[in-house]
Amino acid sequence: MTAAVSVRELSRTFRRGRRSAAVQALRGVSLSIEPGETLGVVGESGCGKSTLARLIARLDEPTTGTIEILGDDVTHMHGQELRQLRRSVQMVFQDPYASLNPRRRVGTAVEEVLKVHKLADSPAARTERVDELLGLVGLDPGLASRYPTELSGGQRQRVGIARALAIEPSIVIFDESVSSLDVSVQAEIINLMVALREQLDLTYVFISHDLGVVRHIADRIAVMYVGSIQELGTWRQVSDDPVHPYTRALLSAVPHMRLDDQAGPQETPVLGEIPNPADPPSGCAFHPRCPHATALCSEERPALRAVADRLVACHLAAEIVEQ
Amino acid sequence: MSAPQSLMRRLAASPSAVAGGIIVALHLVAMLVAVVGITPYPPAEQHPESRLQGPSGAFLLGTDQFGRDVLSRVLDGVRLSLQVSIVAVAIAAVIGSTVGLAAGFFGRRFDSVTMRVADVFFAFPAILLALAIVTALGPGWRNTAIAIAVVYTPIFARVARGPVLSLRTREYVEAAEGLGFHPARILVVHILPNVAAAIIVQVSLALSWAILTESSLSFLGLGAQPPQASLGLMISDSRVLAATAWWNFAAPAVVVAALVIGFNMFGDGLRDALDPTRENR
Repeated sequence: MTAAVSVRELSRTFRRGRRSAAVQALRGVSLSIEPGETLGVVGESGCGKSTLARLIARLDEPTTGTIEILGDDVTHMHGQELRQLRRSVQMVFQDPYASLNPRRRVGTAVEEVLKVHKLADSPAARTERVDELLGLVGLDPGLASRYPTELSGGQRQRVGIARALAIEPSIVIFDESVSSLDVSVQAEIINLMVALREQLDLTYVFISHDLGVVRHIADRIAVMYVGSIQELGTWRQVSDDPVHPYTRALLSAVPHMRLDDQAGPQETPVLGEIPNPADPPSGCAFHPRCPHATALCSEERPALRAVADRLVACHLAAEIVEQ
Repeated sequence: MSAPQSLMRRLAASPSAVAGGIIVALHLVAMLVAVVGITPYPPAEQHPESRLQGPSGAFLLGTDQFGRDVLSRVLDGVRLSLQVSIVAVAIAAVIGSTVGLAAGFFGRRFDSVTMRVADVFFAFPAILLALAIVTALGPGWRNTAIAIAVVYTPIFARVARGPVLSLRTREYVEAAEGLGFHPARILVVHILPNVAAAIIVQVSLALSWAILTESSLSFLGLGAQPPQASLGLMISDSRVLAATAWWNFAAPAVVVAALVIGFNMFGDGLRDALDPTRENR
């Protein structure tokens, strides 16, 4: 079966002006996502997860590497071809306050998508489809005549989802799409996403800094740190039985609510700061903060290897598993 | 409530916009009177028997050294001033805004080249640049309008470019791109309406500067040519008579000042009324 998304050795380097140092936002990321699957991507801010999302959505072009969507190489598409690709891949943005044009009514915003892609034959059919889409994301079709400023954050994010779904894509990328919402609203939106995934056979890429949120929706989780994947496995493996010291540290930062006072794997919280991506540490990027680091870790960058049924980029993975 | 209605409401609440609007409207009426040709006398008609007369029932604002009616000449001067300024500003606004929008949206080399060219224009004082262009093109109201248009085009390019730069990195513009909208659609439907306010305000302010520039050029004898009635020319011709026949000097001077201040105040009021931070739907 063709993968929905397949990226190989993806790198993206940002350069501000000629003299300043290049920032390697993404350093050789490879992964593939099967149709119908949801891949969660987690990591601290600046780890390159949003860059990865923007590259898969082709809102940005990689410096090196390839991106395949449904078997087609889309790495360097542009113009009309790229606009056609948008029919398959859609993105829902982080900030529901900024991702809608404040001057356009909700209905107009959704209808515009149908108009541009000629997805309904008549104005009447368009209006009907707009109502249908608003209903699909759990909004009262009566809200179509409102301006975005009159809606709550959760409602706006639903409009963002309705706009993305208007195109009938097969892949939807959520870039921190629930991060700016209240916890209760987050849960509602995630339930909506799960329901839509079943109903419309969608493939999701779900980007978040919050592992606690990601494990509710993802089939597999990729943990990123300073531009590369550290651990990639099923949500159960990654969230209940992590191997990489960074994943463990990240998990210990997720608040737990258990009566037996037995939080997940105990690990000391991460010390120190996230390294400057313009000047990443030698070897394993995590070694300056890692409690297990050895001399090898500062010299050689660990490859992503299969350890305990998942992929881990750590020289000491095998020893950690044995413990 | 529709956007134009609420804009009118906010304009009406601004004393500066109301005062400026009234002044501008009065001058537009004056222009209309001259265009229709119902000035008290033909502006160039001489009455040798009544030269340099003070204001009277027959000549409301008196007469000049050739016995021409000052009121009629002021009305016609307003017409010429507004005609030149409106044509000039229209050209500058259309060309300048288009260049600015494109520069901000497409960026890169086109942006750097156009903005450096604009810098070169900015390096010259407006009046000096206009003077040079009129000297090269020759006098006449069309050439004056072209000169003024050239001088103010870079300002519109700058005014349009700024908001585009910040808008194109806005998430909703990126979202439009992600939804597969054509760049032309994004520029016209999603960016232009947000830049329009700044351009409209600039039009009002540019009109006030254009009137000043036009008057200065005629004052220096490079704009309208006699016997045409022009506010700048009238001031220039009568300045030696200021002590003896002050009405000759005062009438056009007051009108130029009123026009410039009127457009300025209206522009300021418009800016406040269109300010998105004060927007509440």
